[in-house]
Amino acid sequence: MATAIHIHPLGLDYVRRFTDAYRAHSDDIYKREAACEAVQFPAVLVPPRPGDFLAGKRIFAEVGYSLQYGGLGYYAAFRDWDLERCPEQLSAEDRKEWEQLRQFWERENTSQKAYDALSDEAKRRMPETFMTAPVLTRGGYPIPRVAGLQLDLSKLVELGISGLREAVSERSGQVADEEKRAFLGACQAAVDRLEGAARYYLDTARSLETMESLSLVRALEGILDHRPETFHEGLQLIQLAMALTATNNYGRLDMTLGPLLCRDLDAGRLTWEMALRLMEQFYTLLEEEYFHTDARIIVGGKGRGDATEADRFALLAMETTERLSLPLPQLTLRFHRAQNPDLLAKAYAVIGKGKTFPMLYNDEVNVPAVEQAFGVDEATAQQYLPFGCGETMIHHQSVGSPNAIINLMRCLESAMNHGRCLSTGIAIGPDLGGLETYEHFDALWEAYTGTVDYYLEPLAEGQTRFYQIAGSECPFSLASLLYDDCLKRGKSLCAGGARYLGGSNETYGNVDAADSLTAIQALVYDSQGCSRADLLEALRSNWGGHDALRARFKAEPKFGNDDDPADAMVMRVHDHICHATRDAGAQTSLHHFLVVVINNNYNTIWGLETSASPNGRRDGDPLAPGNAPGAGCDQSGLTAVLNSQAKPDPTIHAGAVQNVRISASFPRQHPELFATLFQTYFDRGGTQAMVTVTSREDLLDALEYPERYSNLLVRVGGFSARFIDLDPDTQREILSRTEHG
Amino acid sequence: MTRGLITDIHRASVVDGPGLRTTVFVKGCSLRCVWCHNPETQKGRIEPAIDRGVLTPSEAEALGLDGFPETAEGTRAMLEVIQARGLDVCQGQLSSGALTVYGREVTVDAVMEEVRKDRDYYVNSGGGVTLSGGEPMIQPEFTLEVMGASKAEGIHTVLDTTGYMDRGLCASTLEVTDLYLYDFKASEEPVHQELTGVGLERILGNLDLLATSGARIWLRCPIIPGLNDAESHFQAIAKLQQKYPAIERVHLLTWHTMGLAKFKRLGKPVPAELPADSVEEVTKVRYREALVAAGGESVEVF
Repeated sequence: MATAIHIHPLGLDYVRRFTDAYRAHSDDIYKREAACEAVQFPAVLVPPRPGDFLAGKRIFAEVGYSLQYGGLGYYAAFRDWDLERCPEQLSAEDRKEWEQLRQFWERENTSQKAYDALSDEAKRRMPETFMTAPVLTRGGYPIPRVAGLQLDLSKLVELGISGLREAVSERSGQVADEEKRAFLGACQAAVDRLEGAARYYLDTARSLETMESLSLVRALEGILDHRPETFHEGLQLIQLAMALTATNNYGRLDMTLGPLLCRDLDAGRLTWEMALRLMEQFYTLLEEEYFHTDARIIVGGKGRGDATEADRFALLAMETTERLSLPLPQLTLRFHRAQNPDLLAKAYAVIGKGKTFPMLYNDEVNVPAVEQAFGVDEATAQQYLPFGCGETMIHHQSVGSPNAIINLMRCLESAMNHGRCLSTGIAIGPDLGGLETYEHFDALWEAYTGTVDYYLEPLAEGQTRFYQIAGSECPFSLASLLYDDCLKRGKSLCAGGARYLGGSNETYGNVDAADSLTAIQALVYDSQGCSRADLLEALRSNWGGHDALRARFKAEPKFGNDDDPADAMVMRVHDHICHATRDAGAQTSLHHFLVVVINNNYNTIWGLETSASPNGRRDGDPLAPGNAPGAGCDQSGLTAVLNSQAKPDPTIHAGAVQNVRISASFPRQHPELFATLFQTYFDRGGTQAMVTVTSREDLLDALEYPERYSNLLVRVGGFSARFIDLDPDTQREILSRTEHG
Repeated sequence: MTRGLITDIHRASVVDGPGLRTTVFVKGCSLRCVWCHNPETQKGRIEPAIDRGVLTPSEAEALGLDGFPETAEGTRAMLEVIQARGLDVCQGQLSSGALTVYGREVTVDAVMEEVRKDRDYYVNSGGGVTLSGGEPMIQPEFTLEVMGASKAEGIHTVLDTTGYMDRGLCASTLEVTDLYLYDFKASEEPVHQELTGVGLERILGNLDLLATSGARIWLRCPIIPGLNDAESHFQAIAKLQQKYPAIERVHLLTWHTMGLAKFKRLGKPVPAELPADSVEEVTKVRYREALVAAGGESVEVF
């Protein structure tokens, strides 16, 4: 999951005021947050348009305070902050000040502070972060951030603004500790800002005087007066809190909004059609506003109590997805055997229409898996949620930010070549030997795992340190207020407040590494049909002049064909990285540190820097996305892919995404078989599925006539996108995947 | 251990009988249907095919494949060179993916291992295994063993057949076949001979044998505009169905151009009488109506 976001510069005056507020409270992080946010809001809030009946959009300025987007805490978007792009005509004096401010934030942004806090050894192994590295040459990178929170929006809606204020007051009356009181004071200020934002929108909406704005005015008046009593008010309050906290995963909205929806529908205050219109605007708002790997809305699943009302919202959400063709929000359906079957039936129908949503998560497998992976009880595990690209967390209880990222194929490359890139020779990892020095396959395996460990240690350290710095610099008060157990403990999210402070390690190149190891074992060590020197030479020259050898390496068994030996290697690689990551986390204070086998287009981007690999992949080609087979390697039919994908152990990681591309004709002509196919996959232990239903002809046609295909959605990995919006490399990667059915 | 020559095993097939199926494409066929959409399964031996659009000039030069005219004869001559040089050698050198080798030898055990992997999909969907081709009964020992082993393990079996085989051989399929997808391609002897290269009589005789021996049959009729879409043919299909209650369904498989690319790659001239475009939806409706009007029942058009 990435967090790059479009920056809207607000200019010198804003930056000056924000910086002054920051400097004025350098000794008190709670007052500093309040002061900086008082500058930031409502300056970054986007006023409603005449047709809007829902408000709550924000922009991200060149400097600001944010939980996730823009950067970690106090961020400064330097790439968008140069003199040329400054929107104002600046005097020489102003320019000087502008430059000084920039220098100040270069030192002072929280992300930099977080990186600076790493040990010297960690910095030696990871000289750059994933964001600051101009090119992704190394095997692993730290990502300083706090990403993927899913707040307790039910608490927000149940209490409303004044209820939140009372809850904070009540707690303040119970604690004497100065630090805790300061935190609770910041929480009060955060509630004030929430109210302030509602008032700001009320004022702007009143000036519009359209039918829609009248409805918006009523909703805003409602949430200022009382806790949300209608569906519209609930949605409105949620959106305000999301904009202010800069979080963008919505959690179990069916539980939060189901009761309000049903109350309105049953009382005749709201028609189904009107509810759909509200949802459409809500979806459109999400789609316009935020980054494409987030905006999860979760419906369905265990642990919802009486789910009748929630189910109604779930059906509404799926119908909205069906009516719109948008890459966001990432609607996600959890399901289990005892659930209302209408939900899953609706899901298959919507997926079959090429919407890429909802994504499907099988609670029968995932709940026990989360129980084991996170070390929590069943009731807690039932509150698991995927966020962003598919990382698992416990709803408003755990933080599982992916602050580590590792490329297993690059680690194998490093292990084969004395810690150096095969194509350029630059250093990419530790020198543990070279393929020519490993007499047995086990020696190669040891060097590979040694390289992975070389990165895991500092990555786990980074995961811990980044939270420590976030905790000591940024209270994130509003988010903390909506997270267990911050209020109870009187501590902010990353400073001991969150119940489970954990982390995740994004892994890439898992399948390429495993398929490469399979081929090396067979052709280099078992049959000795290829010498180690010949393979190294072929890889260094990107298979140039070694076509016959490449054909042999390509012909070795590959993951995705339900081939036991090939799949076993993927499981071996999987077991190792999952256990090793967890073990590295166990050396720290983290509650958990777990692998996520997710994907965004980093399989393509990092693939560009990864040399030719022994699975037959060429230098620069994309890595296989997530837990999917390599491009064109799955040649045995859809059940074979699904069976392979169901093999890696789900109880030792925090999420793995399964992408499949299916021809449009399959669900259209055989809707029942389409559903049965996936149901069987889930019955045999499949954890989840992300399905792109499209035809190759459409994709090719869309390249030629993009204007005709604005609704053509594809699943890139952990996110969906309009195919025509993707960069050419990623488009090619999507096309290279096997189309089934 | 019995071995068979196949082109492919396709899993999760939804077009080769009921449910989700594993389809084994057996290589070799006595018929030479003008419209054959699996021409790579006709010959009973391993053979190459080449996509000349993908072949790079340097590859062509390295293997002495340049200079051949862009005609079916030219492609055939190229394929002969490839055969002579050895398929393995050529495959190693043609990294562009221009060369496809059709056909691989497999044991019954290996096939069964693959078939078993999707047992739960068959159970949940009412699917099973399908032997197709080619004509699966051109390798009777292999086909009967796979079908028999499947049936013994409780896996539903389908035989997708041209019906062109000895009567005795046909009778031997009864015991191991749960459902026949039985081809019926033309209703008049000379037309059948012309379109498929073999006579009709034997096929009708075997159909009679199966239909009167308790078999379940889905009749599969390729319909090619201008070749066998006359009113009289639909009437003949309906008549067969009336005669044999064993024919539970009729599938009209309308012409599509998807197989033509394979003709080209195999160096086979595309017969001039084949339509240039796939059959459109309106025509499919018309075919269906024609058959229903003639008395056809349980008709599906693909």
